Amino acid sequence: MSKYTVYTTQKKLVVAGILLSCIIFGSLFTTIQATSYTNDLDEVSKTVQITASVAPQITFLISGVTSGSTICNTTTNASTSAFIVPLSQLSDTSFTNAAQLFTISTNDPKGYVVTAKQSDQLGRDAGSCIGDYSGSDCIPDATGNNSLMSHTISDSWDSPLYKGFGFSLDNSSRTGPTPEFEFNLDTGYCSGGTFCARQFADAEDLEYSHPLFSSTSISTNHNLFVCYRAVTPENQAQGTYRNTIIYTATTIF
Amino acid sequence: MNQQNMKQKNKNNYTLLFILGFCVTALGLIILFQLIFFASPKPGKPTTNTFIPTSITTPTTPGTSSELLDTVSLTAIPPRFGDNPILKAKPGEQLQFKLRVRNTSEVPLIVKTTATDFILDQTGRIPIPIDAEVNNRWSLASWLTMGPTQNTLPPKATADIAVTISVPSDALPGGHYAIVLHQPDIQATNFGSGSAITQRVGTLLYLVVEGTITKAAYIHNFHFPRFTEFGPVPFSFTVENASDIHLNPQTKIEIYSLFNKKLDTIELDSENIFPLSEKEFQGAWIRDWGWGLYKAKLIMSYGSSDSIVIASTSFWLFPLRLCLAILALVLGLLLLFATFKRYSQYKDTPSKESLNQNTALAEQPNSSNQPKTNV
Repeated sequence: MSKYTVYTTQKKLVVAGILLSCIIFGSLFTTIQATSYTNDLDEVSKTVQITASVAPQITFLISGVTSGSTICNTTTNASTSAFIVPLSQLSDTSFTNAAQLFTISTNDPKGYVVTAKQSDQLGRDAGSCIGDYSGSDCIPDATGNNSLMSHTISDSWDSPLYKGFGFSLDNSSRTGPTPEFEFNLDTGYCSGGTFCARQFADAEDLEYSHPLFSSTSISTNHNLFVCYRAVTPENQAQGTYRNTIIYTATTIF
Repeated sequence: MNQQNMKQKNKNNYTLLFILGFCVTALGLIILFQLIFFASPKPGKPTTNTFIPTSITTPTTPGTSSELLDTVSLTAIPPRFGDNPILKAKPGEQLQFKLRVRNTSEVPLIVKTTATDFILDQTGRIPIPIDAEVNNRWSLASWLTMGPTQNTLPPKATADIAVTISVPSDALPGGHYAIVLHQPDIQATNFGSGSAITQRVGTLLYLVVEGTITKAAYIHNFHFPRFTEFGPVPFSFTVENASDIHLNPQTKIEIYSLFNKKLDTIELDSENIFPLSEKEFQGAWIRDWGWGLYKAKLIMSYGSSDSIVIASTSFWLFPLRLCLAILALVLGLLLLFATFKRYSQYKDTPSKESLNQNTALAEQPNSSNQPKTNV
């Protein structure tokens, strides 16, 4: 081996050593820098606080339902909107059925309640029906198969032989509300029936709003159908019969 | 003959004992079966102490059979105001604050805002708006001035409603309550026979007029069933609020064993109680098994000074029928075992008659061995 070859080899080794040292120092420096940067980030993140608040609220939604829908174990034969329940041409031999969907959401931990009342019985041209008057100018509130239905007492109402106007509730979506009663209730006066119903509280008759359904906790999209049903007496005078139903959603006291 | 009778009698006795043992065992099994399938604690019940069953659900779409028409949706912000923290005012003073209403529909709405007093239903929980003007001890609606009372809101828009409470100088100290209601102003016409729908959503308002205020509360009818075999053990009590303001008592029930060792604490949800009214509370102590007499101590604190009311009662939680069934089973099996053992011994023991016969045979000289006598 010549002197020149040895010298070249040593030179190569020195260069390689320098390069290796550079790589090691470079890596160390990068790591230290990265660590330092991370620590800086930590310091920064420790000082940033994000605050947000959600306002307490209660939302009440009413949706109309088209005719031909199966709700409360009956097929509706009138379409509704959010603010009208048109019962169209009422029959004295068969039921007119309609429905609306109610949806409630609240983040109040005490929950919510929906109450209802009607301004009066269905009166001809929205005329007044004093008390439980059931003359030919008023479609009376139905009293059911056992003549016991009221705004606080449920009664089965399966036959159009029993005339009047009433409603029921369908919680078949089972999204959480606790209804006061349901169409398929099979106890008390509704025992054995297929459509358990009630009257609306009559404001004209000095009846206070009555609860329909409620919940005692935070509630998200609690759904419930209200089913309307009417059949007129045979001697009903010709005309349009109207009233106003008022639904109020509030939190529990 | 007597020995035969005795034998028959013994046999009859053993048969009777067998039947008795079998019956007792069967009785034990029947009670156990009945307890397991009909009376044992139901599966699927909550595993924690609950006060009022509640549920939180996720949004779901309505029934597929119903196609939805238009919808109207309103949001009241907040659902209650002046409850926590308490809104206070002196007689003659004015208070101002803001409430909000949001049109959460997809269509623009004109929203009307009104104020009304309310009463509570017989449960003391549900506010019933009174649309007629009233002037009772607790009314507040007539002191409110709001503006604007009508807002045209595009979809998803929110309106602020400035509320001013002008407390009359002769206002009675204590609680005063009202609801601020928002409703779409829609005049439904030309729809033939039927019902027009008014949809209202509201904010409950609570105001305390400062002055000399009586604060008192009592617990009545604190009740656990005197005897229960299996949990959960239901309880109920009534709180009477004899104050001039609504109370929000913090209530808990502590359960102690016979030896005064604290076993459990049932924390109850706090609920507002209207002034000069009563509210019934119900719940259950979630416990499957108990073995004796327990003491329940109801502790209620209320008011800013944390006044405390305590009531206590005792009750039994003991699986009586289960214990009787196990006892009957054990006794029946022991009886059967003992009878069987005695009967086996009796069967293996030779009877007196056979013993006598054997003895007689043994004592009798063998005729074949007897010397023949010549006649």
